Amino acid sequence: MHQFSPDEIRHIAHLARLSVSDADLKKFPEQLTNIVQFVSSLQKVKTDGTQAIPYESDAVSLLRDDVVDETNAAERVTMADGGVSVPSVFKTP
Amino acid sequence: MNHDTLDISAIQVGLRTKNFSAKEIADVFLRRIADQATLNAFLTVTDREARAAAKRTDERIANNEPLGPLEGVPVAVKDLFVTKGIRTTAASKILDNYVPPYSATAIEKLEGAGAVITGKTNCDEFAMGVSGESSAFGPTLNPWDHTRVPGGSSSGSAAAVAAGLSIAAIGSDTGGSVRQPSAYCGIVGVKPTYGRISRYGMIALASSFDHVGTMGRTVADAATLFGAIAGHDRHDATSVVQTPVSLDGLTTETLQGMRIGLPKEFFQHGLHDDVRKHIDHAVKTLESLGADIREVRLPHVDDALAVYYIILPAEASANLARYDGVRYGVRAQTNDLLSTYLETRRAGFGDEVKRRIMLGTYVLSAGYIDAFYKKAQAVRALIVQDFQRVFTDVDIMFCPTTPTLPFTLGEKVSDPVALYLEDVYTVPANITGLPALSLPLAWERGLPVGGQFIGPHWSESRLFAVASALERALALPLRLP
Repeated sequence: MHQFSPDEIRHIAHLARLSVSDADLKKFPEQLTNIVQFVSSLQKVKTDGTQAIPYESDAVSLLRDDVVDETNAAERVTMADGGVSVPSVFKTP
Repeated sequence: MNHDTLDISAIQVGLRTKNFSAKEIADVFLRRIADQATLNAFLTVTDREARAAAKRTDERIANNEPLGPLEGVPVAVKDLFVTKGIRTTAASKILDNYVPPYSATAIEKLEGAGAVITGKTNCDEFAMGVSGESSAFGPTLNPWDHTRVPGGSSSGSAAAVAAGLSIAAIGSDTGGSVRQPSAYCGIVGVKPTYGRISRYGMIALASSFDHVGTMGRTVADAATLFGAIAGHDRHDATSVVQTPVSLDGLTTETLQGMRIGLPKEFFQHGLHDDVRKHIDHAVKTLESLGADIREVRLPHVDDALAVYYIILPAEASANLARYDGVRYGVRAQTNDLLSTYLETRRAGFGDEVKRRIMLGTYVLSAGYIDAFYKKAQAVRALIVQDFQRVFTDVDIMFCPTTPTLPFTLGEKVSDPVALYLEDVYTVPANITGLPALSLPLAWERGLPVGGQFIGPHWSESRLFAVASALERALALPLRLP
């Protein structure tokens, strides 16, 4: 059974854009190991020839026409110079 | 007027005969919310908006204008539904200061039906939990025993209805989050067929499992709320056009010849005797009402929880990627973008959310996606087939909602797998998108016990009718803790 090491947890956390503290690294490896051990019970289920399904319903989704529409949010978000205001993500040279 | 036994129907009659006003009702329930603040059921109480809504109802009555089916009815809303101009947190620090620019479709439909929304209820953070304890704003207490959990994730909604702070409530049900707390608090909770109720504006956890659900103290109240918010919505591409749910069978349905299946797998290991004896009694009652009780088998349902805890974190890790400190809520002050992401998410998310995001990231990563995620989707298909097969033989299924009575606060908080096992009987309806309802069956040592009906897709009318027939036969008195 796979045992998560603190380094592995740090790596997964970074992929998920989470930073983890030393205290987290004391509890998360064991907790995630237990959860993965629990869900690994699926490996014994025979699924040959079974088609994986992403949704459970056979209902057909209804799509609306692809036309430009007012969203009811548009006038409420923080607008600046006709755009949405967010912090800058590029450094100016 | 006895406020303790008020239901939606009594409020409609009382308002129309001018026995009382919507303002009086709103005042009573807002006062109760304030008096029972120790339950920690509400994160935000919307007194001003509630009084304004009650005033509009009273004006409509005075002017003889058409009235809605929920006119003047106090309704509490899980803080997972966005509400225009009203703080919406998902019980997370990362959305502590978030004020949405629009309202969820369910909220707009409640308001359109005349409901008086009294506030936003506490829940597990981003609906991740089964006990209410993962809320960033502290746990909700079980109204029947303040040392015990009310269940989760819709903890505050269930506690509010059970304690008489609200007539009805809405919640979200991704793995049992409406039905399980309803069972633990002694009320009725129902989740629809996938696609029946729009999820537009309900903060997403796992999109292929998420459902909007309703709660009340009686089947009729939960069903009336359900009828008011169901239906196709152009804003939710997974919502479906269907014949509306009928509430006609609520008082008339007999169970003569109704084929009710007892899934054997739900009655095996793990089911506590305190729950089992009341399930057995309910089965005898159903039989005495003329139902044809049959044992049925769901060979793959034992794997449902493992399927759920692979697909749920996978979907959640993607859905929660949007909380990056740029677009919503709280933003950590740092010097560069990567640090903004890392620090905002470290400070903003609680442990259970972090665990599930990491687990989801792991099962979707290169080298593991086939072994975990794709395998889980294949087993999910087998579970769906199991239910389809059984529903050719029976009309509806009956089983426990939870394996145990409500557990004590803190008892399982450091053991995620022990907590996950709480949802063993509720998760299958989310994996399969089937409608399901939890009904109070009895009080055991002062704590509620719930039983669950699961029906075929789009069978909500039957679900309500059968549950209502059992409710009438059990004849539990409406009472407050």
